[in-house]
Amino acid sequence: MDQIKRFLPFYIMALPGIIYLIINNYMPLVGLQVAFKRFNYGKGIWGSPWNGIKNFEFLFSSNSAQRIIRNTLLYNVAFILIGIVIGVAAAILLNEVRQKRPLKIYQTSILLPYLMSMVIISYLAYVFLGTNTGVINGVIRRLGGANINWYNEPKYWPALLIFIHVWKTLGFNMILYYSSLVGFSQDYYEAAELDGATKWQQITKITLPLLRPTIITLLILQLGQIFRSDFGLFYQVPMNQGALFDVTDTIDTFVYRALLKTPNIGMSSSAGFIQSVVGFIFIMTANGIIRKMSPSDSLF
Amino acid sequence: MKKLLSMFLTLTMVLSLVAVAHAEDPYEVIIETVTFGAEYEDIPAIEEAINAITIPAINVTVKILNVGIPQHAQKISMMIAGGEKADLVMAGLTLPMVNMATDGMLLPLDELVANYGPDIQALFGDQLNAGKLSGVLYAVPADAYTAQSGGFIYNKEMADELGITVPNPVTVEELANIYATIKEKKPEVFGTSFGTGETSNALYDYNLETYGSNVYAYGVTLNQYENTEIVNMYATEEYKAYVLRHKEWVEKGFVPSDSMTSGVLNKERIAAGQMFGMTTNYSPLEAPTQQGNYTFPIGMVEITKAVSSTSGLQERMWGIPVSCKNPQKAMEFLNLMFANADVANLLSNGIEGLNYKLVDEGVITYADGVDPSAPGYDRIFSRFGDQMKVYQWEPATADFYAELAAFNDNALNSLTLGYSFNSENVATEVAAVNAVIAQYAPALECGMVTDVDAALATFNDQLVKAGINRIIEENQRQLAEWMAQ
Repeated sequence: MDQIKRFLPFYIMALPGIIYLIINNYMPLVGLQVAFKRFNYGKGIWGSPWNGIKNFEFLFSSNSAQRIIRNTLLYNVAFILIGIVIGVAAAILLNEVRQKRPLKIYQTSILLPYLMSMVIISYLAYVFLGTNTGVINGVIRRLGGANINWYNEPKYWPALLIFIHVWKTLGFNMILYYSSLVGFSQDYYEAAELDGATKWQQITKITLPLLRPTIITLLILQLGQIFRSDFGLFYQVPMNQGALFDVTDTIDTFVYRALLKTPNIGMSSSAGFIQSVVGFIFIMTANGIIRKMSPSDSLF
Repeated sequence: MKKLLSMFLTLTMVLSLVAVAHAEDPYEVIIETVTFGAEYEDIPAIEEAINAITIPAINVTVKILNVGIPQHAQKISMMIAGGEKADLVMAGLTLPMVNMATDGMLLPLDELVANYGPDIQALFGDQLNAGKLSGVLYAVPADAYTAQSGGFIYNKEMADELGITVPNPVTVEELANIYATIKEKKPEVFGTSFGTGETSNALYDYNLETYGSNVYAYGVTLNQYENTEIVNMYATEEYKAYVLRHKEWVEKGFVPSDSMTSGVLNKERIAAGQMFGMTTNYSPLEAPTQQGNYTFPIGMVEITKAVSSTSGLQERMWGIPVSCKNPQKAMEFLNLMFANADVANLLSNGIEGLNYKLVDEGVITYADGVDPSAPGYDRIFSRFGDQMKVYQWEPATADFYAELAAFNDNALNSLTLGYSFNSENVATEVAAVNAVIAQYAPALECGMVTDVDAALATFNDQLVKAGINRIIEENQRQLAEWMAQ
């Protein structure tokens, strides 16, 4: 009782946030039942009849199931790993820039793609990849080669998609790491310099260990999204070309295409349900493993 | 005392007047107009003009809900799911009427039409059956003149300049010859284009009943005016010939090879003079509608036979959603819209003098001072009222109405006219089949595949695995049941 009294002001301060979380994150959980129902607009969420796991069948009965799960998982693993390496590297490099003006210019220009819509990026990509009008084919022709039909050749797309994703998200990842970096006490680095440590040693022995909690937090958060995919990246950027589906079709794009012609709320909810459950399992497992290895770094 | 009594009497009278007025407050009918999403500043004035007719007639006021077509499906789903009031929504344009009915979005209309829709019954007759699913009426066609044929629209100015005459009706072979002539005389101009290939256009080359799918996911019936067998379109000789023809046209340079990705719409290419023409729906209503996209005169000819079918009627339908607060008033208004030419004209064209002016009997053009690129009101995708009573825009002529009637009278009736396929029992297969079609059909139909035989074999193999045969069986079973009745 005493404790509640003591913390009362804090609870009151947190109240708006708690209410927001309840409305925005907990109340919609009721809607999860739609994944197991034959949804009827007239009867509403509660009144619609149950239909077991029938809504989930289309995801797994099709022969695309293996492909979409493979694509979704592998791309996300690649995005997470490459994103961390390049994001951390960029943050460390940026941290070495001491002049104010260039620092701002680099920061802004790296962040810029993050603020662009995927539709715009898809046309930026088209400027380079267009078959007849594209910049890259223009160069190839100038050098005496033949046009490459980029939008018809699946083999280029894993690399292209990873490149575009990293290019787009680098700025935001980098800021997260950079904001931790600038908070590190300069004392460590001064002491290391006095002891004759090289820049490389300073990075590996001081910066990276200090950055570890940030990296782990972001890693766990990203693992929660591992069964989801950036719809714009996989749908808009490859221009929805059937020839590329083997390497561009993910759970989200598959669901969109399968239900575009015959919208079905139950079926689309079933896909969202699976994505959430898998994300939840991944977060719990990753956090569990990390808690075992070094308890202080785990998220909860 | 007398004074007090009279005051009391006056008070009760005033109160009862208020009560009467309250009981008969006009009901506001919210009706959708589906557009490209532009704002129209004259909508309030048009609503007022309609109210002047509808309040005395049926004690209803009207609110026009302007919805852009890209948001349409989501917006009406959300409105209905959220219980937000809407009274007349367009089914078929973005969400198939059958799906809206099976998902419980629409109210059954049988009794409402029987009691409050005499003019609807008179106008549509048996065509009303197209709004039925398993014997229950869920929607009223928005247009009674929906016979269509596959057609070809082209730049008439360019045809005259190059000395090309496009025969009417035209065959696909004749079109290929025309493309060849164009290639020869104007190498920088394309004959036609297949666009992105996302919706299948083979129904402009062949008489097909597609049962409401804009690809061929439910199977098709070829020559539906004399045949009721449902087959897998993608496995037919006709489809193979269609694909091979397109491949040949790509090789000969009749079509732009990057149409799947360039994002340039066919009509933009035609408008820019870079392309001669394209296949499209043909009906007397189409030419005046499509002329608006071009600054030069266009020509329009038929390729396939004109047919009245369920698909045509289901393209645009009026449904009353479950979130409607007073279905009787909504139906009364819908009936009035088909009966009263003024209401239909206000909703279709706006206000005379403000939005349009009459140039001939039943033919209109923009009113003086209207900027055609930003008009104060415009009907884009919706249809309001009886098209025989609605003014048509130039280049339609006074002959238009006779043409439209003749076209529809001469059209063949599909043997399945009035039958709708309910895909609910095979929803899983339909989703899987649509995903397979999205993967293979566009590249094939745009002539981008080098080994057509191999691609068609894989495509059909995947379709069978996804369950297209089960869909076709179900469709054929439902059709047989429907025909037995």
